[in-house]
Amino acid sequence: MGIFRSMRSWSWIWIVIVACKGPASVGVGNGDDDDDDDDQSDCELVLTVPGSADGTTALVEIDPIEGPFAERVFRMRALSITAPAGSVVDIEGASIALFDEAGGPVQSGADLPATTAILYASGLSDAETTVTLSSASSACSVEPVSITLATVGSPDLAGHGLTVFPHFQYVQAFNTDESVQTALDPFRYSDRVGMVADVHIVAHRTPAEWAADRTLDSENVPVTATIGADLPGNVVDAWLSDLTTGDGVTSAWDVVYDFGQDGTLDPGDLIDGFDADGLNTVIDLTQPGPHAVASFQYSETYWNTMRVYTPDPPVGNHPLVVISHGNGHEYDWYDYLGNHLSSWGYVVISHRNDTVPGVITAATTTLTNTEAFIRALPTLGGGVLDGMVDTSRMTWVGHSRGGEGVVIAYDWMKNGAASSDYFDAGDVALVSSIAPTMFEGPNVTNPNDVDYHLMSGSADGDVTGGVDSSSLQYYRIFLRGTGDHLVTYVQGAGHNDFNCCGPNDGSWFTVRGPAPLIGRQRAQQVAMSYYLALLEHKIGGNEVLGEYLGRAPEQFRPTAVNAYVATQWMPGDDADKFVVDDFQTEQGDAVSSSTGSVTWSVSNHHEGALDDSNSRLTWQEDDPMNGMSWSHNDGAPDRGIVFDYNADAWLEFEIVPGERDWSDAKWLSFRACQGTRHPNTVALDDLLSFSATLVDANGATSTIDFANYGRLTTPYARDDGGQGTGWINEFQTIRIPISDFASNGHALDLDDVAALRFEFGPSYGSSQGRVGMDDIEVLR
Amino acid sequence: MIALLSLAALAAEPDVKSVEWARPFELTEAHQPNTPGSSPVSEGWIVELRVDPDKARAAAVAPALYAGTVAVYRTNWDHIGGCAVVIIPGDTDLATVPIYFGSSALPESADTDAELQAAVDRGVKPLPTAKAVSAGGDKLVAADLRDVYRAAADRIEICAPHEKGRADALR
Repeated sequence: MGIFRSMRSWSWIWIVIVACKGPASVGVGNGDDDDDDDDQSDCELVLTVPGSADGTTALVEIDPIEGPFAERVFRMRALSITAPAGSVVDIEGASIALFDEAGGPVQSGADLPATTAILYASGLSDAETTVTLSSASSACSVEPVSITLATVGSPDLAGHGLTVFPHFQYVQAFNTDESVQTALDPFRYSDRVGMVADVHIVAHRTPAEWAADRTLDSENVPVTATIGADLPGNVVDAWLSDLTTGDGVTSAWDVVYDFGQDGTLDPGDLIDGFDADGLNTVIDLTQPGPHAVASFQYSETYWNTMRVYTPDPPVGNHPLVVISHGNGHEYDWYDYLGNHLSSWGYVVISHRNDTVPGVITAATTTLTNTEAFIRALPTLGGGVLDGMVDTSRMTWVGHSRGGEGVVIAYDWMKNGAASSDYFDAGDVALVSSIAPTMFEGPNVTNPNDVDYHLMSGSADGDVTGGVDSSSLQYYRIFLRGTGDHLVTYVQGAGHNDFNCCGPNDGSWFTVRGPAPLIGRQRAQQVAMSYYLALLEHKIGGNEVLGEYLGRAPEQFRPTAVNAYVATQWMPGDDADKFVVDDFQTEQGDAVSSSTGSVTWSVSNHHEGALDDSNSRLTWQEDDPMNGMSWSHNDGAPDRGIVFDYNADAWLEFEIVPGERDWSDAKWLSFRACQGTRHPNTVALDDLLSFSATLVDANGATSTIDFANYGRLTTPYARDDGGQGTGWINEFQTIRIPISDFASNGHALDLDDVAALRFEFGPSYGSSQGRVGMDDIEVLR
Repeated sequence: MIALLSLAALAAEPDVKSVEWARPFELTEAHQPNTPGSSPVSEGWIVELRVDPDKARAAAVAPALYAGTVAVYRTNWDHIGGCAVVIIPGDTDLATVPIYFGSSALPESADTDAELQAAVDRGVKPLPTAKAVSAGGDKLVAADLRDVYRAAADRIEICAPHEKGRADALR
């Protein structure tokens, strides 16, 4: 049972015929359509599961949500009953609840009315329950019939087919220029094998709306699919083009497998959606939102001066975004971002920032302008915004020195070094820096517990992120933070591409290779797209848009983003996760931070601070952390590993007892990058992937090449900072769904994962490479 | 040898080349700077300089501009013509104080005595200012710092017309 119970929220089921004798039967269909003229035909006991492919197996979905029967019945499985008067149903087990046709609960031992034709079964938990139907009438001497039902989780259906294992990637978010495919895993839903269904995609409805209207008003042209015994054959091109969007950033849809092929949602059909969205289509995130935008200037003092962007008319509860510009920049240089976010319902202020003295002074101006704006709300613009701005979930965005200033400002608020009568640290939900400086170091420029995002460009001629100056190594900002950490790293974007009018700093160095300067327009399309996704996710609670932050951009990025982008998403300390190795503790390279053994066959394995030791990007063997910019002689530096390979090789982490049950885990997550200017990186000259293998306690393995989900970017072709070409190492977060390792019935016991092995080389991904890794985690 | 001498001459050329215009100001209400621990400002100079354009460009990491031991407020970043309109806070004797680009350390945390000493060691000297002061005219009596920046904006429009947008923003 271990193999199957290891899958999250589902289990195998079977129907067992117990002592079936005489006319009793278990089957598919109506159950009484033969011409049996047995003289006891009136005593016949029949218990069937309509919609079961072979009549001997069926699954019942676990439905933990309580609600009216008329709504929940779509999650239930119908049991067809033929029984004489006086029959009794017995329920042995607690994983199934039964209901009669009117929605009344059927208790074990209850007498069934003679008119009973259907019972509905709803799954309660991951276990098995036996339902027995028997006759209590002395006139009917027939043996009881029983079925044993087990349960399964609600299906994921929408995603993308893959040419290799795991054969299908289940996702929720789709750009409108993508196609939607669906697939039913025949091993999870074995009772459906051989059955035929029409695949519909319909506008998402709530359970109550489904109860009111079961009609499948398809957005797609329904596709008829026969469920085969192998997942690759079950991939359906469900919605090929012109995906529809509505007025919002995302539009929600449900996927229905209509096994009755009658154009209505019925019990026994499968639906990906219902209680939550099945899939979402996402607009081009650079498109303006539904609000008209008004902007005006407000000045209280010279330094408390700002441009205000607001939905026009404001309709209330608009989250506040504060923009703090950089040195030599002006507060009116961010119209593109202010107008864009405001059109989507945010009130944005971009204030004059006192950056010339430095980042401490800039932090002060972020605080004073935020306070000045909130204080002025009752009268600002004639009071039009009074009561319309939500200052309890603010976002602070800073650029350059302003990008460091907003972090310092939050640190002051958090630690009591600054205070306001109008807001406190808890009102700041998100801090984001665009190409921030790092003058003050990680103990001062510390995001603490706030969710922190960083956006920067590889073609930055000012705050380069390079390894030659600690003040430029912005990744050090993450060193002391404990909240969620996110990065959007844009190849080809310069420092001033993120404002309207700064000098072309991309001309201050030379670039070779295929990744040119992308210019202001494309960089701002990236900024508009990712900032809208970020805010809608973090502030607006739109879970779907988190996929832009969590999936590798090679495979999934906003529609208008025409650039190589590397993203990172490091869950905060309070996330439910098991850290396999973050290299911060147990610093011997043969022991993971979770105290498991670490072994390898890769070459030149080295564990240490992610800190380029000689401040030059020229590849030298005595500087194994070449191109790393996450620490710079800092106490308690961020640590990781580097290694290389040019043939098949591996790196294995033992999973310690007590942490081996991954059956409820969602993701295997790790950060990885290519090592800049290393001969292997130069020779590869391409995006890079390798494979992750889970090894269970019995030695069974399952291997996935993460190229399926998006590869690691090639270092940007910049040639300053030493000999050779390639800029700093671009970490990318890779997330592989844990359930994918057991896709298509792959035999792997996720209850007992004994080892995580990364495998490299031509058999497992890119033929050669130099790789850095950090933060190997299992996210639940 | 000739070439080396030329390079040496170039290296010795001051990165702040001249003071073109200077006008004193006085605030009727003292301004408290944003830098923590700084003293209120009630007077100072608006000064138009000619500087090395490469050092005038806007950047996060750039040499700071000082008058003696005082960090000046930069109001523009003319990397084309090298016009730098700055505000020098406090009672400063322009005739005796060298104006220079220091290190890239942030002024709020820099050792300004060391910055000045390093400049003197490099041979930086006070620049002629008499004509500039004469050109600047009477003291500006300003209600607050906004008036001072407006006056600076007017100078930017004259000496760096391509920065008109920035001048407008200062107003």
